[in-house]
Amino acid sequence: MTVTSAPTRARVVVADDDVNVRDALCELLEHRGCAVVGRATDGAEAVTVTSDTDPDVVLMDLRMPGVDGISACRQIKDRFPTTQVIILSAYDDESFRELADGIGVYCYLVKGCPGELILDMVVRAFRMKREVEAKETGD
Amino acid sequence: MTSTNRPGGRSVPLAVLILAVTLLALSLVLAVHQRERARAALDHRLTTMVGEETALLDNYFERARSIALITSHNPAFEDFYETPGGRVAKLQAGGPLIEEAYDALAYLQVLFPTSIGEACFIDVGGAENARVVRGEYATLGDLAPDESGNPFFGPTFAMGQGDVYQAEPYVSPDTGEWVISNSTIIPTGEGSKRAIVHFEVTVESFRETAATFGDDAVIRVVDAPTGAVVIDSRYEQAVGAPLGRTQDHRFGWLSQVEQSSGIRTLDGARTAFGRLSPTLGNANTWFVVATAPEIPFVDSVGLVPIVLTVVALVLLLIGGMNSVRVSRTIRQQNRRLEEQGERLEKAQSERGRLLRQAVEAAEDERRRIAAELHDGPIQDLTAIDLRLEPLRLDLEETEQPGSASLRDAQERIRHEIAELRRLIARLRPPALDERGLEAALADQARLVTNSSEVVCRLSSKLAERLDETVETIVYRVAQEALTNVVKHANASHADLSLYHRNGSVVLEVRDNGVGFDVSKLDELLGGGHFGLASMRERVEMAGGAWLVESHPGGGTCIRAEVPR
Repeated sequence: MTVTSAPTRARVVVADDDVNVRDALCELLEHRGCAVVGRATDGAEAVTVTSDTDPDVVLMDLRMPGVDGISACRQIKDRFPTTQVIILSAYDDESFRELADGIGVYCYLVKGCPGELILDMVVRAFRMKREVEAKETGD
Repeated sequence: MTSTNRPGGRSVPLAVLILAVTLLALSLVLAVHQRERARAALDHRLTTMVGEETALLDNYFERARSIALITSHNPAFEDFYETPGGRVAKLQAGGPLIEEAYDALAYLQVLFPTSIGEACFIDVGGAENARVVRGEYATLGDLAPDESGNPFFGPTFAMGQGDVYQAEPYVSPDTGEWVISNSTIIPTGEGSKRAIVHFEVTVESFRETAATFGDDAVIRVVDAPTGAVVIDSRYEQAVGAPLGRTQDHRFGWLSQVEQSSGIRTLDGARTAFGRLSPTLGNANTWFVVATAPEIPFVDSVGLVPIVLTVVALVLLLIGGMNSVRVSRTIRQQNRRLEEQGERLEKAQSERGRLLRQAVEAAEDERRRIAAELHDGPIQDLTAIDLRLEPLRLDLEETEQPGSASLRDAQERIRHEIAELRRLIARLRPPALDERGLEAALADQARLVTNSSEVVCRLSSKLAERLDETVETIVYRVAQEALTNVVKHANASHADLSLYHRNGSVVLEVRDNGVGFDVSKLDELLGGGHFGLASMRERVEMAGGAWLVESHPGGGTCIRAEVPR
């Protein structure tokens, strides 16, 4: 019998087509104790990396070449329902927020928001995933 | 080459046509009038002829009657019988007794110098006592022993003294001519009927009289009971020939007429008739008939109507030619107008295409700039902010100086990011491309509500996305209209409505603001105020319709209807 202890660090995949933003996010997350387990430059890669790494949280941009963030989120939530997805987009339109809510993302953040907020949301999402998984295990 | 449109071009042929028709009508009236006048003149002439001829014949019969009576009163005839002795003996004796009787008969030749043929003195037994033929005295041996078979003999003795019998025409045994007999009883004091005097007048003498009327009219004397023509002014009554034109029965109808005179058209000829006065003892019941051909139309109407008709026809010809020319000119002008219309339509189409290209190019440029802002400065500033975040967090945790300045700098960066985001939204709202018109307008409505005093709501009945250009046009119209509402309407509410109608998408932007006087709309459009001109141009460019309804104090409704 193998006993797996619950991870204490959030395992995060960062998906953004802008390399500067992607690197800055990874640097910030790791600096604050998160484990960046994967990086993606578009929606399709984000789905693949998520599938490969089974992260707790996916930090996803919306506007990316090829498969966009919304489509990628939908695929991830379909295949990995407990994985929490946080949208980090330059768009601040309500219609995108409603769309994201409809898919079941954890939250919708707008680029330009404080880094602390991003970190806070990642941690909260991580806990959410833990709670969901705990409930599922308990069931 | 340019053409000039003559305003009065069509009125010239019309005036000519009216003049021609008027002249035609005038010539017709004149022709009818002239023809009636000519007919009246002809009728008058014929009626006069009939009257004169009838009077002549009446006069003849009356005169002959009088002369017969006067002659019968000559004492020579009575003396012949009053003288004692037998008739034959007295005739054989000759002498003054019988010569006076001969002289009395011969005197008739003086009274009827050209027309009298034979005159005689006849005994009641039918034997002639004396006879004069054309002034020649008969000898005793020439006297006829029995004249009682002649047509006048019996009827004369049947009459009383003082009456004259005027027999129907017959051929005289003495002259062979057609004659009319006049005979009367020789009066005696005793009232006995011992003898008659008798003289014959030729029918030809009547014809000669009638022929004096001359010209183209024909005078006929018609026997009323048979309708036979007994005298025809054109044909001499030759010796040995039948009387008149007895086979000509065209006037048989006269036996049916009741009136004594009249006129009518018969076989293309005007025919006037008059009845001779009936007289006791006159066996001839005659009508006088005068005929003349109807006057030919041209002769009757005269020159003026014909000239007017010719002028009218010439005018019609001129008018017709002018009409043809005007019609050709109108067709040419219509063709030019059509060509100009086609060119104008083509130019408008080209203008619309260029406008559409310009608008689409502007939208593309907006989209490109928005994308560059999104992919460039926003991402870069975001990355910078995120890279500064660990440093600021470390400084704050270690309570080292500079953390506050760093926080200020980050907030400044975020503010710039927010400004850039608003700029992107104005340039080309990402929702319009990513999620469509309805989502973009919903965002716009929320933006207005959140950023102004106007509560904006969207009501949409669109089931699917529209053509990209149509969505862009409608979105820009709504954006412009809402900008006006916020800036100028002083409204508390604005309602956006989207729906389909007759193959078009309709956008309504209705507010409850101060409104304005739409009679000044052209002025506002001309001045380019409020973006109205821009809105209308975009809609019309897409082949749509743009309408504004407003009045002071009653809010404004802008309606754009764009084909899908």
